[in-house]
Amino acid sequence: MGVTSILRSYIFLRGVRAIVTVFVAITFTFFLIRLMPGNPIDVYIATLMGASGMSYQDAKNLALALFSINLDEPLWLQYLKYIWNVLHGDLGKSIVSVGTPVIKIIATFLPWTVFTVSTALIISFSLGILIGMVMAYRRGGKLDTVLTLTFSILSAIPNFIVGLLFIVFLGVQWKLVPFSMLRGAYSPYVEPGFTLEFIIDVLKHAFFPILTYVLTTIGSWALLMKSSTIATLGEDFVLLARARGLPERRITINYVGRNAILPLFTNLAISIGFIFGGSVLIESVFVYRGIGLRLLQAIYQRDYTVMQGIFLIITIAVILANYIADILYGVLDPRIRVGGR
Amino acid sequence: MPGENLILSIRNLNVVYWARRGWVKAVRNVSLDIYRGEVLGLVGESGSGKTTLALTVMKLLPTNAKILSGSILYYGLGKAVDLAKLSEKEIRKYRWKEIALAFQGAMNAFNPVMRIKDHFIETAKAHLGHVDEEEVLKEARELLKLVLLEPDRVLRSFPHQLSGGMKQRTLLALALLLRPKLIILDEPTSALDVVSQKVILETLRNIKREFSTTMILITHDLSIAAELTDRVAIMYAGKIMEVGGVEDIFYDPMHPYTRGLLKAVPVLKGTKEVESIPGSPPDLIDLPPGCAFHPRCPYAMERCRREDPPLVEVKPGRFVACWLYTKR
Ligand SMILES: Nc1ncnc2c1ncn2[C@@H]1O[C@H](COP(=O)(O)OP(=O)(O)OP(=O)(O)O)[C@@H](O)[C@H]1O
Ligand SMILES: [Mg+2]
Repeated sequence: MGVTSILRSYIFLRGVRAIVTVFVAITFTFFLIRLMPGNPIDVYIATLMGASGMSYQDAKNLALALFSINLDEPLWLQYLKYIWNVLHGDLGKSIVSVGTPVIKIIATFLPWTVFTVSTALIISFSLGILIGMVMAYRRGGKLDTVLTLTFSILSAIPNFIVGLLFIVFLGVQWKLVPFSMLRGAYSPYVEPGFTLEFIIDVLKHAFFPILTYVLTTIGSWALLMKSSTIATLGEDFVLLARARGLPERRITINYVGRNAILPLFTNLAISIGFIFGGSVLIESVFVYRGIGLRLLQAIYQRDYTVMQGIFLIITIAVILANYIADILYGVLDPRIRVGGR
Repeated sequence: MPGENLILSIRNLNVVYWARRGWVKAVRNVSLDIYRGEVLGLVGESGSGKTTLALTVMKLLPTNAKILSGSILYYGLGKAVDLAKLSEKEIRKYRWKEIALAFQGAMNAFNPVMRIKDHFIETAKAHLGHVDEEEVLKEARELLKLVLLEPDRVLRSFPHQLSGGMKQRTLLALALLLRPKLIILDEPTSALDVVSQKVILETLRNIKREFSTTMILITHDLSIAAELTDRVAIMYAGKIMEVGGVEDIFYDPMHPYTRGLLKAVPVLKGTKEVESIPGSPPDLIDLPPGCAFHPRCPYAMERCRREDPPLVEVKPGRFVACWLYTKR
């Protein structure tokens, strides 16, 4: 087998795994809606009957239309239809904003979360790696001691607390930042489009959510990179690179950096899930109109179809992000990409 | 014996490591000359300071190590240069171009994320500036053939695709790339199976024949030293105990430690039973007074317990650090 075909097969295998995971997630969601005792369909039917005095049949018909499910069909057919619908982007309709397709709600809110979360992740990861390497090279020094302490404290504080502290001090106490003006993903008076005004407005709104994500995650990246770098510095190939008289810069980047980063990719995959989960709290703290805020709203309103749709989409997004992390890892580490001899 | 054709002259070298319990005296007052074209065997038990000595010559000691005193004069560039006094920037020009070090950890000597060919190319570039990559690879292929490897397959491989023995031989080829005047081989055969060891020995013989490069061969395997070296230096507890021609060392060992070592080797003494030296090497942090070997020495005298014997030339080319031979 040629190298390229092996490369393809690694990406292919990971792809298969991702698809299977998505399938499991969809199946799980289906059975959660359909089979769990006290499942959302039954609850909703009961609510309709109680609140508006509808007959069971009417309530059931309305519920089924919203959930895009026909309870009278055999289970396997319902399942296949459900999958078919999901694959076509039909996640049912919102219960609260009657008639609005769930997928449309997701399409409006998800991009903002993906934007903030991925920007924050990229900034935090790359900055954390740089700082971690500097700390490793100066280990035991003043800078290292101060940063290690700071980062240990920072990563112990939950992210929404950091967000709240921003609002309390910068917004309320010192009145430096008008947080109430920064609600939403952009200002209502700015026309969306590829204009400088809009882009600046978007960045202003995203700034504090991103800053909060970065502040609360950068510490663990830096500390991980520090220990990984220290371990790599002790490797024989680094000593031999020195013995070969390679320039120090090349050793730092190609030998130490390149290899020290690799173990962090496993954490990258885990971190993506965490940061998505964290978006619920951060977005509600800053009232940032992303998918996390919308999910919270759906939970308050008991908008089951929207809840389910968002859960499913977040799951798929996390699986996808994991897949990307896997591929990156494979590209960077030939031991993964290219099999043994 | 080569005359005044010195390439490296180590004088009164003392190196210590800082460990939690105290200073590890890893290299103690070592003086050693290496002549052009010879293969010098540096033999000693594990922990006797062989690797430390090699790392000191290349200025590759870890941060907790310190050169207390001594000089390492290098004569390869015409005039004497004290390597011990060079700055990190200055020594870089000597590494690999003048002195190459193929060390113990060949298993892990290559960057796991780089192909072997890039190791050759970057090494050439680091010392020769802009080079024609094809030229470098052509040279690399020749050298890989010399160490009995399939050049093209090896060059295109990543390190993990090669076996330990192959990596060790690739490292030998890489060591020869810039035609250094001195190659230090730190236990080139340890951690390898018997078959790979044989191949390594054969390639070393090839190298010796083709290039007549000066080599320091570090080993604790006396049979390897007997096969490949011209002269042998015996090291014990950080100190050189005896130096002499390979025949002299094996057929007429002088130092009691050398004699003990030879008795511990089955092949050399034929059918005689193998005797290992009683006791164990001393703690380098807390050395016994006098000669470091005296607690294990069958000939230990009163003086041995008080004074450390200096390394003196008892016959031309024959050095021993033992009160049995030093009349004073
Ligand atoms: N980085 C270090 N820090 C502290 N002590 C060290 C360090 N490296 C080596 N030593 C100690 O220095 C002494 C000499 O070690 P060295 O590695 O030079 O021995 P060696 O003769 O090469 O042994 P081996 O045959 O096992 O390779 C040993 O006692 C060892 O424990
Ligand atoms: Mg050693």
